[in-house]
Amino acid sequence: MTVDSIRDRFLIAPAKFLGENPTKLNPLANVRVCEEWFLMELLDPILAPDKSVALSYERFNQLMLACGRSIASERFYSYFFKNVATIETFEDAVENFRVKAMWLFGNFKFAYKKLAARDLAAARFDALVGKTEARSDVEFTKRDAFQDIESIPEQDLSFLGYVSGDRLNDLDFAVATLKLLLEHWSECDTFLDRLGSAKQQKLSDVLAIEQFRFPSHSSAGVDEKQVSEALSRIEPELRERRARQKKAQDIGRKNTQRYLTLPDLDVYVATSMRSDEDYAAQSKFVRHVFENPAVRDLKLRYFDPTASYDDDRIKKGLIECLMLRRARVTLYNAGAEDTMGKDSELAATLAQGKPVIVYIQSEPRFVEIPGRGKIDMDRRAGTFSAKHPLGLQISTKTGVAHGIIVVRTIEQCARMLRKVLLHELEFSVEHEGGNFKLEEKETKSVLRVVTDDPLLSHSFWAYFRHTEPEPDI
Amino acid sequence: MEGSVPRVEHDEAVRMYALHLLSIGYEVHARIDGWFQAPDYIYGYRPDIVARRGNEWLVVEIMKGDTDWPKISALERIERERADYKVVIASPQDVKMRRWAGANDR
Repeated sequence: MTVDSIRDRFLIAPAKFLGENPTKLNPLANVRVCEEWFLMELLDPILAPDKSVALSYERFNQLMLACGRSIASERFYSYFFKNVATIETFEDAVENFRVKAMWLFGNFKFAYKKLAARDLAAARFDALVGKTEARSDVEFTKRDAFQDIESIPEQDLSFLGYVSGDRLNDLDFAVATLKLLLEHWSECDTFLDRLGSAKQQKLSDVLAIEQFRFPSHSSAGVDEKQVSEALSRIEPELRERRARQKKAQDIGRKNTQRYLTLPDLDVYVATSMRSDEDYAAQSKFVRHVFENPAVRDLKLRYFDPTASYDDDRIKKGLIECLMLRRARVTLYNAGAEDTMGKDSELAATLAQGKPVIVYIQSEPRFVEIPGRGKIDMDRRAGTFSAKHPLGLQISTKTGVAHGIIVVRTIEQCARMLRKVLLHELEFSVEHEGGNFKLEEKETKSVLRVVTDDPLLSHSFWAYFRHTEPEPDI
Repeated sequence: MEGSVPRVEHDEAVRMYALHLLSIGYEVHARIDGWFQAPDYIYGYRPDIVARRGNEWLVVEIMKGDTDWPKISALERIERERADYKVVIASPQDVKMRRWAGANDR
């Protein structure tokens, strides 16, 4: 490596540091406010013939002034550049700053302005950069084990669902109708006529699930004995299912009160639970993630929506909104289909400036969805990683665009959950298609972006900072 | 939460009452998802059942517990103000015993 090539690399790094896309011939052309000869003069004492780099506090600030930036505080210099001795350590220091700038502010210029400001209190500087530094796990491990939530037998979990609940309600209605029909058998035609064609069709559909054929229109083929026999078969089964439902719902109601008063909540688990199979799959997913050795010692407090119940759907929605707001991170079990519920939860978490880990199973690769055919989960993962419109959302408080972490296995999910909570994620800053991307190294997930587009960037921050959201509904 | 009727018991009574009214020729709106259109609000509250036969309107509320009174009070107001409205407040037990207050004619 020649002294000239070190000089080139040295000039490229400050351009990146200041949020510029460096040009080949003159990397600092867009930011330099001094003449070219002076910049070269400044570099002479910094870049020694032995290829070492001597970047003192004074030289660093001269370089910043020559690039039209304000003077940095000594604390800022010490934190990022004090140990610079070679071009490699200088580039690492710049990369370290860029990662923190994207993480905290989503903007390199603003990050420098904020973090390097000489009137920024030391405690505030430490608090800001501290948000990006690895945390001790003691805060988690010293807690008691999380045993507050009572489990519900897996085969009864679906009884907490409104879809499954509606199925039982429909069957209840069908049983009540058959009973009334038997009470007034002599007026069967009148009764069915008054019931109406739509209700009789539905009655027929509901009873078909219970293996009883009831005409979907007219009274033709309705037999009193058969109706009576069907009723004496279906009613006890319904009672038994209702009893199991009641037991599961009672536990779910108690769990809701426990969740509402939990002092800490680490993880919100977002998923959709439409079918009975969804409940079982979600329950397994939750168990496998939180029992994984990668997170087991953290004794994580997590909200599992399959273990909570309220009779009222509005209250259930509010409970979930509160849990989402309280949790530090959302775990999103993508499944094979998008649904408004869990997609909203994903977007709301990002809009609150909090991380989302999206799990898309890798095995089996293809999942059959009735009416839609086979869904390719690899393709779905690709969509989430690169194309999903909800993949990036701005934090409504800071304006920083937050992205999702896409994982493909339970083990990876648990590992990333630990890294997110303990701030152990490792990043690189990449440039592609006119955007800087803060990419998580293991999953290649993009968690922050900064656009090169000067008008978009300027308008975004100008309007974001200086206009209030619309006050009207 | 004291003195409240379990949801399942309440809903069963609503179903039975609505089906009874249907069987004796009423046009029924009831809070039974998927089977009936829901009744409109009356003075800010949605009754369990509103049924009509000719010019006669029947408003049925199945009791849930101590917290019912503001709703019952609002529903009873319509009976005072409209001669063609009758309000029935029934307990799940009444329905189980087939005591169809106000709607026992066929």
